[in-house]
Amino acid sequence: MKRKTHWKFTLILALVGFVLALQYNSMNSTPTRDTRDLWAIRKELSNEKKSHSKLLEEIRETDQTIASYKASPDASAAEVLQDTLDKLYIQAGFMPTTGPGFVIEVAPSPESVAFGYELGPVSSELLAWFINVVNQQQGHELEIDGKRFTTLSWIRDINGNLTVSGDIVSTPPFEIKIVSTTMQASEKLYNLLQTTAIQDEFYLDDLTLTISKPTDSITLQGWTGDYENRFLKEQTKE
Amino acid sequence: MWLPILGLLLGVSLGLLSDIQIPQVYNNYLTIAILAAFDTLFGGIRAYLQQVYDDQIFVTGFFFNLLLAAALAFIGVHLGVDLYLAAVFAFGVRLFQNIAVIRRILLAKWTGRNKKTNTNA
Repeated sequence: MKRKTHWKFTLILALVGFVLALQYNSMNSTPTRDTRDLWAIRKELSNEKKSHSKLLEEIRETDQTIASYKASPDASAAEVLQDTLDKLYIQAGFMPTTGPGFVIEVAPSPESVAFGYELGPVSSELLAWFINVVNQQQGHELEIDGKRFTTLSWIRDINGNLTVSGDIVSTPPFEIKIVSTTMQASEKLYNLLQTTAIQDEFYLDDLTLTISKPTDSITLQGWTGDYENRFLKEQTKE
Repeated sequence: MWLPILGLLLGVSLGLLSDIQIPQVYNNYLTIAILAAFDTLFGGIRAYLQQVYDDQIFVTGFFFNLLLAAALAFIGVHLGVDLYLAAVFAFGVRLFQNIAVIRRILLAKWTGRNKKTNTNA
């Protein structure tokens, strides 16, 4: 009797062991193969190198700021702080910026004018798409119809009106100004905009983009609205 | 004693060597099957130690629990309710209870044997 019990136990345990092994196999399935070719890997490496150098640059800048804090006597500490604050204001788009860039004029297409089509405001999706195309290359500052576009700005359709951060963008024609850090970056973006399908997308909405050649000095207005401070808190003196 | 362990090892090695992989979709079923198997197994060991072990109850319990758990998981998937969690919970609780009882019985046996050797000495 006992021997029979043992056999049944053994069989069932063998079954349990088998199922366990199956589960183990399924959980530890072979990792997905890396099918990138040499060029894809090189591209990723170059991206990583770029971000590495960017980080190094940021560290250097911060180090310089710290050094200037330390080097300056108490009287000029406020000045250094003001400098940092100004820098942050510029970075956030609160100050007018001048630099190499170009102007894009969004205007009704000649056909729509000839046929007398009624032209509505630009759709928010189209403008968001345009901004995504510009943001493919980093470091550009934008102004849409006299409204500064910062990292906190938003594009929304409010009651049929296109708005940038709540301000209504006028019905075309209007201007979009783009300022870059260097002339080279500006030319690169100019070439990108010439070759992408964004012009065709605007044309489908009976609009044309007239992109002027990059020039040395384009001025953008500063963002005049408020900002919401959600995370920073004033440090109390101890 | 050694025969069941040998069976377990045989099953594990067979499973590993066969290199069969269950698709991700059926993973829930497999997990619950394992839990049900463990539950029945520890229930069997407990019954054996308590000397109430019945062969038929053990074998039918093993397969019935397995099927019930799989059915619950299946119905759960089709109803959109994670019913298999109920089975996981039930089996999990029972597993712990069974193991606790086994531990107590073994502990009682061990202390009893120790006492006997002490009185003999």
